[in-house]
Amino acid sequence: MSSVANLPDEILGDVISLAIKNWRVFPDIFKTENDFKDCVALIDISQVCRRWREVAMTDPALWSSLYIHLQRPSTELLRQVAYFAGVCLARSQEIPLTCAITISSLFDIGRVQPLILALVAHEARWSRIAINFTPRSPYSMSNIPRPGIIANMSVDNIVYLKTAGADHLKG
Amino acid sequence: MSTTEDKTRKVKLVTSDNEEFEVDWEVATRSVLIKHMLEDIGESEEQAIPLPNVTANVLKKVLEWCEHHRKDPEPAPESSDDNRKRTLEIGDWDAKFIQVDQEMLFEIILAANYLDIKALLDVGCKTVANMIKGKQPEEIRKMFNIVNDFTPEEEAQIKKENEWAEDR
Repeated sequence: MSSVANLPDEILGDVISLAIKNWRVFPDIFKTENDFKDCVALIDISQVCRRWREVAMTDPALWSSLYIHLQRPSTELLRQVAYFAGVCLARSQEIPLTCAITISSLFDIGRVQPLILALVAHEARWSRIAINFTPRSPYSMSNIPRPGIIANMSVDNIVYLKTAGADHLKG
Repeated sequence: MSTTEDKTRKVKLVTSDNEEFEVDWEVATRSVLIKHMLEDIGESEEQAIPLPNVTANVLKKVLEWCEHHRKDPEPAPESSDDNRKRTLEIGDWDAKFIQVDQEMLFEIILAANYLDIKALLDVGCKTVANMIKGKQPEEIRKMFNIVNDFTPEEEAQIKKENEWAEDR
């Protein structure tokens, strides 16, 4: 009796790729109210069983698109997202990266530092990238830059973030 | 390139359970495998093409698809751009065609893969992808009768990777 277990790895990999819709056409990502279901779907699929996990892990292309959309995230959630981004970036090996990250109602920009630094570390592989951070309230006091926010990031990191991607703009 | 003579030609196919099907050349050659085999045997029309990996009930279903799509243009070579634009959408006729039980669905996928019918394989893969989409791991296991074979250590590692998603 034929079942999903009979599918060769390349077909199962194709099914997984289709299921996570990893080929979403950029830059429509922000228009589709993407709430990183793609990433969640990949996680769910890689938790099914060992074989599915192996198939998902051996295809770096599956992990090369990072779509994260967070609303009012806690510090702990931002830490976990940075960890997950690190996992994706490592598993995508040398594949060019497509990253779309939007974080709204952000209380303190310093808290996204681990996530941004993880991305910047792979700058050479950026293919398409869009990052959109908005403060918690446009009229709140937290919108005004405070010395404390900047103090959370080292001078080196601020300079690095400002110049990240500059190579892609040349020519 | 097919000729007018090819289009009127009949092709005999023999399944793994020894059933013989006689179909139009245009229908049979939706399968790249059969097309190449026909090119190899040349003009000997009487020679039947053996298909040892396909049973009669599956071939019957595959030929139904080939008959409906007999006039479709030959698929263009794949490009990475095509891959990017792939969606999960399936045409109305194909969606109805693929409404079969799970065993037949996987038989069709395996047959399309063996016979090298890319468009049919695509319909099968998209159907399975649609079944998986949005489901939790346990739901997927239940749907396809898959055993969770992770060790407790592996489960712990996976949980750590995914805790951010669970908290949302």
